[in-house]
Amino acid sequence: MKKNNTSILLRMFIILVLTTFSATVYAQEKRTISGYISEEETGEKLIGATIYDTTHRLGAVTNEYGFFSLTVPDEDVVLKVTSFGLNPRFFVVPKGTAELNVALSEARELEEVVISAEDTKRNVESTNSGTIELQMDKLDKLPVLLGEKDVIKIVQLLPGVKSGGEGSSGLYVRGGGPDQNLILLDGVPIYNASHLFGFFSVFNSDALSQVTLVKGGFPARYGGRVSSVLDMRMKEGNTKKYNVEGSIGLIASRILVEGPIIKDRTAFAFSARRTYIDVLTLPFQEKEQRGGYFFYDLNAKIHHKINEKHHLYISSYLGKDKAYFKGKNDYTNGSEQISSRDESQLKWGNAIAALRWNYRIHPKLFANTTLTYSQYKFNIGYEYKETVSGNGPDQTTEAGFEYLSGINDWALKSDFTFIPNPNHNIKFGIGDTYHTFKPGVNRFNSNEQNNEIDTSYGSYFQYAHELFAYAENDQIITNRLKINYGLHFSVFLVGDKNYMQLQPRFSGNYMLTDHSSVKLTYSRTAQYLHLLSNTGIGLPTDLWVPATENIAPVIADQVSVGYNHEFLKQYNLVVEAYYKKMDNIIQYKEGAGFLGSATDWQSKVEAGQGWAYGGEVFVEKRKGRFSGWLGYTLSWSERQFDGINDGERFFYKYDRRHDVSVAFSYDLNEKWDCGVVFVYGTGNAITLPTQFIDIASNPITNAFGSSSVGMFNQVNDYRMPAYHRMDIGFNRTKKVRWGETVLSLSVYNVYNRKNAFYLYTEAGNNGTNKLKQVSLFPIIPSISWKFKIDFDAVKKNREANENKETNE
Amino acid sequence: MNKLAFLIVVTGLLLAGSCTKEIEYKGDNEDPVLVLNCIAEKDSTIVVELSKSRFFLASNNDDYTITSNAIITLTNQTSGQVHVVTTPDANGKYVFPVAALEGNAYSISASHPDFETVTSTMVVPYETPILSVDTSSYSSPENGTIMKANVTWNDPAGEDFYIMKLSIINTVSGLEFLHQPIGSSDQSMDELSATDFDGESVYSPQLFFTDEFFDGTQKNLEVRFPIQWMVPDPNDHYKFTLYRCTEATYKYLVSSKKAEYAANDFFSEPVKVFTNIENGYGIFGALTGAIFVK
Repeated sequence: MKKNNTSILLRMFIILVLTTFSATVYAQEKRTISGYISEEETGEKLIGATIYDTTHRLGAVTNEYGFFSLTVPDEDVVLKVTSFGLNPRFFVVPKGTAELNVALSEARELEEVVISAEDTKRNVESTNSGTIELQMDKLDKLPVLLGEKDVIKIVQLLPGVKSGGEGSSGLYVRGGGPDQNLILLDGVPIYNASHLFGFFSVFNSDALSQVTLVKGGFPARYGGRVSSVLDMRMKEGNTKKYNVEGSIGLIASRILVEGPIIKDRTAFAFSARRTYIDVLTLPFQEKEQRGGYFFYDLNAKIHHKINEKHHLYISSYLGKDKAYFKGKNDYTNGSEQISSRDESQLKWGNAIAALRWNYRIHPKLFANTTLTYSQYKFNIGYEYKETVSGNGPDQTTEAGFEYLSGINDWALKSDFTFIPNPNHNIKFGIGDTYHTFKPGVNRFNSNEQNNEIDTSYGSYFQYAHELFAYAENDQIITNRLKINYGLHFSVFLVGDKNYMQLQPRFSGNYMLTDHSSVKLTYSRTAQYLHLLSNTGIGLPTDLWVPATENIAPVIADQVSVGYNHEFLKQYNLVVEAYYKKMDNIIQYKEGAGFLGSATDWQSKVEAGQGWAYGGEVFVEKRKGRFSGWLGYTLSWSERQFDGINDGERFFYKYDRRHDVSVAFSYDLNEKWDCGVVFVYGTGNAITLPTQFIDIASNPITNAFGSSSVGMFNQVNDYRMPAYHRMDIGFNRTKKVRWGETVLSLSVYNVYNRKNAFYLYTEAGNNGTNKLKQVSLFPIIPSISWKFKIDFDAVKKNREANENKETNE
Repeated sequence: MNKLAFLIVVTGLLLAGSCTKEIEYKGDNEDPVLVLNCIAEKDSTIVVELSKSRFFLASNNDDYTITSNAIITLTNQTSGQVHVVTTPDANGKYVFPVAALEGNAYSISASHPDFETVTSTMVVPYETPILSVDTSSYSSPENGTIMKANVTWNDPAGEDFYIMKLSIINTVSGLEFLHQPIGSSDQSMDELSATDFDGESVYSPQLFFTDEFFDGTQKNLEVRFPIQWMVPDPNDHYKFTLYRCTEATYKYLVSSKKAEYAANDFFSEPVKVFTNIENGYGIFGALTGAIFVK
């Protein structure tokens, strides 16, 4: 196997060298124009902006750092630079000019409906299949739970993506589990993307500039997860002027501050969000018994342009949830004064940091080197202290329990983009991640009258290296045929075991007409991390564990075929069918769970297989006063484990036959806009014991007497009621002297549908039982107020007033 | 402020009230089926418990034991003898006037006019005698004195399923303390019985394990058990029973035990209780115990 892998890698390398060499020879009679495309108002680099040579009909697209490279004949050319939602610009680039840095300005509303041919071709021509880029400005117009804008909740509205349940921020993409999504914030993986037990995600949408979801046809640059990639980029910071934005909502408030440290050279962006449920409930609590919950997020980023060739970025995120309860009791017992204190707490959070260096080595070669750190920590603890005084020396009794789990990553990677000519866009890179897994340690301490106990037990720390190398080429074969092919090679070193995986990737796009195309993709992906989860509702008790000598990595193969069609200039239709097979996925054994963690996690899990297949329809309108999408998914998702369900295949708990989502916004006028969201999904599959039997008398377990147990025919063979709801929201934007305010009114679950969160039985009359459901969110109206301070406007107003006063 | 607090409480109650509601069960598997339970012990009388299953929304108060109109037929396939019992004893159990014989194959069927006839088969396993038990003790700061024992026997070739139990016999009082907690960290243990002596030592009333890792060889199993009252009594004798049981019996006992635990743990995965009863639920199995007193 190793020999085979090496041979394939060698062939791939030779092909790349030949491609590069031929391209270089070909390029000798031409010149390469390269540079950055940014937004005029903020200085933010634009990802996916197009640069089009109108004379020779050659084009290029900016990469994730706003860099482009376009090789054209060495003569005067007219370049058109476009980016979604911004005014296109034309440039005459004289012969010999090799550098072009362009800033595009925001389009006015009326201009948005004017669509150029080049713009409309982008989706339909791209080799990207199963890839959706969210429009951050449109997200603000959609209604959300409790007025908290949440990018994950919007991603859940896309076809092929499901939520775990009511209010959950878990992602289940094309039949995969919540651990199979690579959630990247500025290129750094986030392990637990949930706040408040999964009801909110950790991403403060104010701090994000771009969100892209890839659910199939993975380019070779992505690795480490088997179901999807959610690539989020934080705002770089406004290099032109200061900007302050914020919002005040029912449960949380947030603020974003950005601006130049050195104009056009160094910028920062800082954002913060915190809930205040704990503060609001404080006056209603007794002093002796206090409890609360809060979460916060902090995002910070600094971008420094050393010169046109070198850019440096430092970004970080820190988020934490904490639920706590504190009690105190002071009393007397005869001559003794007794004082006791106890505190229970549950806290978890992520911390990430990234240092990134962009280097334009050559007009055709761009490099990005990143050093990252990512940490996820979960802690549940209890402490008790009692002091008895007044009768001799003070006597103190202390006891505590703590359960810790988490994961730490250090990673270093280098990515290169090489664009020898407009027909090839080559990406390659290498990297290493050093993982430290802490899959559950219990610590118990007690100190009573000089009798001390301090002990730890549970799973041991595990360490692993995940190395990778990749190369891909996005190649234009003919005017109608474009392909992207590549290899991702990864090695996982854990204990004495080495896992190696060669993962071929392919996607092809064939243009049927100028406005329609068919796409075909194949990808093999490997995942060396597993998430042990009982509930699937994003509880922080979920454990990240590595592939080990006994537990092999997950390997998935996915094929998809799609049809893209653009019609009426503004609409895009995507129809896709997919089939995915997953090997070595793990699940807790029957009866096993998070509790009883005295034994190692490996003894509690079962490895098996998974299948997911189905079709998706996505109709989207991205531009104009009315924009949004309609998504429909028909899918099946199954699992098989030798030790579960008698080894027979069963439906995955998030198998959802039908899933419909509609999300659109409409600009009523300059001040008012509205948004509507409707979702419908087949109910989750659950295991419901429907017949109860008495356990047989026997000489073995009779110690506990006879009792009854529930029987079911198949795991997950009962369906919860279908899920559906509609949300409506209105936003009123008001220009004020110092900037802009937006008042948002929204209603979640407008027709008060009682969707089932879980089912249970309850005793009824005469010994009978009732089947009952628990619903979480009834109709919930919410209000939030957002502001944006425009310092230019403030300055202009001040100057105008001063002039006015002077004139008077 | 009080008005505000009142409003919040009322709103909270309204919201909480709207959170649960009764729903209609929309599924199949509503009809009860026959439940036949019989775990025969070598050389003991074969006793069958017959009942019907209870639909989960049906009343808990009703008696589901079947005491009339049932015909239970037991066939010793080795000897060809057939026994039919139609009337239960005073305890509601159907007692066959025969003992389960080592190595003999049995089939059973139970019919009742209201239910589909249920059937099953089993073979009573042979005994695997314990060759020796070596004991020693050590002190544990948390649990007092812990006894170690090495139990040795010859495992026959082929897949075997074992259960080990411990009781303590006091020669002075004459009492036998049954179902003593016992633990083992041997890799052959089912997770129900596996004990991590380096971590939180949790002992079980019995050990469930298979011969997957020692098939056909002499097995020396290390077990540990805490001493009652923390101090060993010189008059105590340790009685080890090694049960060799049918695969169905083992799977049934393990799965039903796990199902009991899982029912009380929100975080546990559901457990499918094993059954080898065709058209119904329950168990038709056997076990053979070998005793060694140390």
